[in-house]
Amino acid sequence: MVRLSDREISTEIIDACRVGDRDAFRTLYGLYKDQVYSVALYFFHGDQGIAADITQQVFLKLINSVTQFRGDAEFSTWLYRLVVNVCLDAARHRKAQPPIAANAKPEAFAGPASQEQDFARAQAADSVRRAVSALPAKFRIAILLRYFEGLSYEQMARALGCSMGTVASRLSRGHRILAERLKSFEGRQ
Amino acid sequence: MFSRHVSDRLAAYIEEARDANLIEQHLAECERCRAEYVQVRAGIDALQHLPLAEAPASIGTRSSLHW
Repeated sequence: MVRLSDREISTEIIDACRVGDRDAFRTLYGLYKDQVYSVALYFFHGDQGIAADITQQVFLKLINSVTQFRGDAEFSTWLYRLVVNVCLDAARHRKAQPPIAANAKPEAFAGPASQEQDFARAQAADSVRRAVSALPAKFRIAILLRYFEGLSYEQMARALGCSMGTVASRLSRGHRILAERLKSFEGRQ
Repeated sequence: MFSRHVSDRLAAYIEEARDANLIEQHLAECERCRAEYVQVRAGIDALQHLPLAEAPASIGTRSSLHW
């Protein structure tokens, strides 16, 4: 998987966005949309509608606030702070609603055609998706940012607004819970 | 000499080799942290099964994002 942090977002693109260049926004959207959507999709238990809304909100915020990006942080860190805020805000508003992991459509997570045909792989992905979905929100968002965005611990600390020690602790605990849940799924099969 | 448990630092050790000497020393003498190391490793490895989802094209054509 290509990690966002491996990509060079040129200052020319950011500068062009600042002055409202539509092509530059389209370029940024094309570079980041799948990662932002994936984080939202797995964060919200496979709900495609919410994931699409979150993705839209993130890019709207980006359009409206890119002039505030000063360039003293990496662009991806700044963008993922937006993603974290939008996801956690939406989660707070939806707290009363039950997670819909059990009802999520498998096609919401479909990868390329060859993966769809691989039953064992699809089953493994479904187990991991359910285990991730059951994680507490603060562990879930940390794990998704790390996995889909490949952010460093320093970048994650800035995106999540916490210390690197807290990032390390949330990832360690989150992975342990994930492994325990996966083991319990295996026990039931 | 037994050092403090390293449970919360295991992901950083596995992913970024942070505090490698200290953590390896501790793991050599602590069964509890070795068991937790196996769990954290399993959690990290499991994520490799999670595919990147493709954002629906409809998002980019919504009027509010129609640039």
